[in-house]
Amino acid sequence: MRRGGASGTLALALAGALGAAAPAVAEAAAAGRDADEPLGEHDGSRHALAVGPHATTFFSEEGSQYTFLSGSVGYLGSLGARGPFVHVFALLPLQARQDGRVYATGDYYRRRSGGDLLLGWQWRWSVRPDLEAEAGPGLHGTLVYLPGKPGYRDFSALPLGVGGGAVLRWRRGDHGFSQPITIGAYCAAAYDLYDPLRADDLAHGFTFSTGFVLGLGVSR
Amino acid sequence: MTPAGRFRSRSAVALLALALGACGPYAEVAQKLDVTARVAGDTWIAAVGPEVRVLLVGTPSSDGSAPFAFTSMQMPISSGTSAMTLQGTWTEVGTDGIATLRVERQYTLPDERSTSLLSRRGAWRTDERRTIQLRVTPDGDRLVLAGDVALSGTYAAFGGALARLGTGTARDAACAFQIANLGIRSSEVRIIGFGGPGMTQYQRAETYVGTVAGSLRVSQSGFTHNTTTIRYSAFEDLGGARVDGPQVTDANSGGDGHMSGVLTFALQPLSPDGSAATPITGTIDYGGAGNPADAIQISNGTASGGVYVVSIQGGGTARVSPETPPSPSVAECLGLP
Repeated sequence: MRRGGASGTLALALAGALGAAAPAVAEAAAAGRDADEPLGEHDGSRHALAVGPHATTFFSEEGSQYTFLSGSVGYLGSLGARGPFVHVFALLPLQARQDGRVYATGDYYRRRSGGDLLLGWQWRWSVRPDLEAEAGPGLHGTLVYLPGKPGYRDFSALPLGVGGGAVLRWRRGDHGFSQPITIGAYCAAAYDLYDPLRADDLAHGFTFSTGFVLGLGVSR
Repeated sequence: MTPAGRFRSRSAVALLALALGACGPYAEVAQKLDVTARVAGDTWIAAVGPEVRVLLVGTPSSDGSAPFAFTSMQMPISSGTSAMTLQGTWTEVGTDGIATLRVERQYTLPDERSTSLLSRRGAWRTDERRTIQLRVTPDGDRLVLAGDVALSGTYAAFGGALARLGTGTARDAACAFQIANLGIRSSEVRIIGFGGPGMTQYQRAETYVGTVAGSLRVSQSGFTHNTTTIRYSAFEDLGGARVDGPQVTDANSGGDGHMSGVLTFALQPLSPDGSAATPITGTIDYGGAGNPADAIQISNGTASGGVYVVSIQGGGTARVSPETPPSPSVAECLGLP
């Protein structure tokens, strides 16, 4: 029995994280196929956990450059051979820079938190029979929230812009929860141009992220 | 969008902004809030039109350098508008009357009355590395500074000037307010974020020291409706003008509300021989002294109505509007040139 209650629960949980994703296992079940059976040309949903470095840098109208280097853990999800995708990450800012000065955030901020969201439209294609690529443009936002330690000032920023993301998935043949497991890599870049909380001060900025993914649900 | 929808949208942005301690320009990374260096020395005061200038120069060390603090306060109305403070080192070597001021920090509190609350910057501090050269000429109990337009003027010794204050009339009480209020205004320019949404920083209370003595503790509670309390403890930013007690501002996310709290002040005049004369003590009531209708009203984060109720202990009382020009002015109260 390949399609048990556990796989259904996992698929539902991942679908919930995406918002309204149709679980691959459900599609497979509806079609009477195994979940790792080819579904057609890159159909189905993709879900993956991701980990990697994240960097955002931006320039203020007053001429300062701010850079935050973070560790990130996130979720990558997409629907269909052509369809929506989301990359959402929790950030742990580790190092902050302003105009060449470098600060270990742990020395000045009592809590280090942030998030990154890239929401857009993707296309999938095969690089090799066991290697699927996905890429597309989207809307981007990064939140950096650093409440200061006693005696230090808080810092926050919410640069928004446009960007693009790409994912490479390699199916190794392993299964988990009755789903084919994939490993791969992702990267994203964005150009930020508006901060709704600092609208008078953001000139422009850039965000880059990359890392490894561990996912479920690739068909090829 | 309907008016209700616009209100909800603005409220949502305001809530998010307040939650993040946000709006206005980006903060400095890893910025320490209070870096005030105490200045134990002389306090000098001058007036240039509606601007009041206060200069503190500490006791020189063996190399002739001393800490200094200079504050410029624009007081076209009693509540004040903008202010600026410089801190650094004052060096006078030789007898040619040339002083070199090495400015290390500048604080700025802009006049943002016409700026929407969420777009304000509030008070900020920058690190500076510049020098100012002044020609310093003592003139009796006065000090004449020349050479820099921002600092030039004829300064009177503050302690001696306080001896011109009376205690018995409404005018005396109004003067006492104008003088005590200088220390309050000069403290506000050093509270990072003061006057802007950055005050949400103080959901966790912070302490700032007085330039001469004492300290203040600033705190804020509430989310969509904030209560900001600045509690002064033996606070002196001008040597000889001490304030104690809480100054409380209750306002919604739009910056509309009222003030309360009672500050006590103690002004210490000095006799010509330098000895301490009888101090002038009293209170400033922000809450209308029992009549809430007289409490200081706040609109868009700015004092817009009500009165400061001032009482000199054993003396006169006065009701001072925050919106009108000081009457009498600081210069008139202290007999400044």
